[in-house]
Amino acid sequence: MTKTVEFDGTFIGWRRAAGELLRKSIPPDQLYWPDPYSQHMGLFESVPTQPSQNTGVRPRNSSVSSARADAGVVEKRTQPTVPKKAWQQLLLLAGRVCYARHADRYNLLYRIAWRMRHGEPHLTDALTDRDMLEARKWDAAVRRDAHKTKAFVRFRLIYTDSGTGLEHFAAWHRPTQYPLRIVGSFFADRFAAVRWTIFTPNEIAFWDGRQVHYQLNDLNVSFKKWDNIESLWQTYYAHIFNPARLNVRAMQREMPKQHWDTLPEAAILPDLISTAHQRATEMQNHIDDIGSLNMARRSRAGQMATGPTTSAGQS
Amino acid sequence: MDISIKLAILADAAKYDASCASSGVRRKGNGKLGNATGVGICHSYTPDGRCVSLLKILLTNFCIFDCLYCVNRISSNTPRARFTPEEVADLTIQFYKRNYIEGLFLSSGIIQSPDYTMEQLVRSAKLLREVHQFNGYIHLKAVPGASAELIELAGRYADRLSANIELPTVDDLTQLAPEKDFNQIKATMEEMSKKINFSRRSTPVIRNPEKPLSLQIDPTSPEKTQNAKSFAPAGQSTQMIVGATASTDVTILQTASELYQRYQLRRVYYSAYSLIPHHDPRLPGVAPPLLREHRLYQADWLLRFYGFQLDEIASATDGGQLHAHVDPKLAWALSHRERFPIDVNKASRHQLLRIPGLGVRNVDRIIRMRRVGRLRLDDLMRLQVPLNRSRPFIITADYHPSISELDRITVGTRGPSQPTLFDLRPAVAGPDQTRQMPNHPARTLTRSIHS
Repeated sequence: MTKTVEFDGTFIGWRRAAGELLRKSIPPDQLYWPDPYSQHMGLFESVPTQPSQNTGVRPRNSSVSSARADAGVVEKRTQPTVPKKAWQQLLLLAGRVCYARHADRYNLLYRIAWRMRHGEPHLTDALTDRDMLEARKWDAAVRRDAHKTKAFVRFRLIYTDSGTGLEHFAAWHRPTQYPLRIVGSFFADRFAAVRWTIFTPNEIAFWDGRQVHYQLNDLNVSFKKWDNIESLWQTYYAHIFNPARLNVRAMQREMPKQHWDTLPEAAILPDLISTAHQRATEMQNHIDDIGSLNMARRSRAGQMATGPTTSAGQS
Repeated sequence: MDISIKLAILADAAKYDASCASSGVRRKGNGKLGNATGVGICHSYTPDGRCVSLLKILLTNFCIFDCLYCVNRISSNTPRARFTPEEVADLTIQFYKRNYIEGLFLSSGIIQSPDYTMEQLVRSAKLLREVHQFNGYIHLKAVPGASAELIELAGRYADRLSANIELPTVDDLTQLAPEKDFNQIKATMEEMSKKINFSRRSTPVIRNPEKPLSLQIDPTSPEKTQNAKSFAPAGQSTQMIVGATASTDVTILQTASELYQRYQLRRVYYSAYSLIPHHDPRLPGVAPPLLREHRLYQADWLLRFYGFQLDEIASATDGGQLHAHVDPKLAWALSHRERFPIDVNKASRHQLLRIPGLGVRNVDRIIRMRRVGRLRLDDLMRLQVPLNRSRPFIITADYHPSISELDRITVGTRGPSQPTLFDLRPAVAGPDQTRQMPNHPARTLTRSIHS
């Protein structure tokens, strides 16, 4: 009989629910963890996948399962104690994995917690265990996406309060995972004195000067507004680039196309790439010109009346 | 002059400085604008694949020096511009508020005198900190020869300072940058190093020979940032141009490790000499391959994070040059085959770090996993260890390579693109024969590397 877990989908919510379920010794395969993001989007149906067969949910724990809810003492006798550090490692992991774009994430985390409690206290050190490997993979994805969110969110000045001078900024960003609740405190700390809102397809974060508010993006709100600093930013971007070292693959590996729509500098990328070769060649030709002129000058010893002026005036 | 024209000229002028790091200091927000996360963030990438983390500009590209490799030398007819410190501060703030950058990296051509130039740089940083209450990252160029008082001020406002060593040897510098003084650059580094150490003295530095110095100084430790007289909490770095002179990789690494040791630099940047507009004909007309820069960084990493000594790296080079076809760690391992294979279930961290294909992170994962059980080849595969490179060098619970496998090292190569090291390899008839010293491929290889 599958029971739907009532929780809000956040890490804090998961931790509270998982703690209680562990105390009640409810095994992972009897639970269904709903996914607020994917349900809302309707893109991914939250069908809980069955726990994999060989992940070690061991039947020998049945005697423990029937013990009282607060059977810590009983459990200590029959099961190895989970060290505090191991729980901390799991919570660190869960703090990110809860925001992975994967319907099975809450269940996977609970399964790991369950296994830790039931005979595998050091599971978090078993980095190549099947469940751990999966969790670490999703963790890496969330970590990367959170980092890219800190990097690629681009604020635009929406309006300035004429009375107080308070500035309101907004950004439209398309993450691959659900990183807003992870990065919210970063933006709050960094941009404390202004007001900002970050829109993503799934969720919105808003800073009111004291705290960050989160809500699902029910109306699928986005926005477009031009900010005139963006042309200065494009100027900088175009001129800090060295066309002699063109390496589009390296750029794209770090800045995938998925984000180009929301990055003002990406608008001039195609231009920069297509003219880079020509610019580098011109520079090389210019250098060759100087070289051959010098050789000519040396060989004809002073007969060179024109001098190396051919392209020296161009930049 | 329009601000966007200035920006174009002064960004163009700054792009040959490789450093764009915004790491090394962690600082909470001040309730206004800005913080520092300790790791640094790349906010964008230009089509050359390079990270854009800071607003990297020159205050001015007017310059009284005539350094051959530099686009801004007095004899080059590049367009010139000059920002006021106010303009620099405004631009930084506008960009920062929109989350384009982590902060400012401000350098400058030398105008009037080192002191005058330094004073202008300091003034820009001071405006940001005191008028705009900007709490983000600031990297200032330290002008060699500037007064101790100005350096002191610079370090108070900046997170990182850097004086560029420019070239690996005195001779190289005299040849290409006649107005620059090798000893003066080092003196400025020493001045900064003293002040950085002084401001950190509240934190005891534990000397551990197993660990490189840069790992022992924890930039994010709270004591340092709370220190009222904080001085350049993210330390100092420098840059060396590679390939503009004949100096070899070993010479370059020698200078780098001397700088790391003497002045506790956080980073040495290697910048492959790049063709610049308004090229000086006395320089090579061809840029060195970017691979050379890459190999230098790999060797630099081995020195700083993998416990390698300089002479060990030098022992596996080709007449002082790092091999183009094999990374320096593999090159070292191939010329020291007698130290392998290494048992991943028993070896010390130091030994694990010597295995080709194993990075610091996977080494630490392996050590962590040894608590739970013995590692098998399959575990390493799941850690995404590149087994085609590592396998001949390791022992796992279920795998023990034959000596011949270590000798038949073609496993370590990646296809026909890496043949040079192994072309001379004699045909291996069988394990017994290969153990005979005279025919030992490792010897042959070592010889061929050293010759």
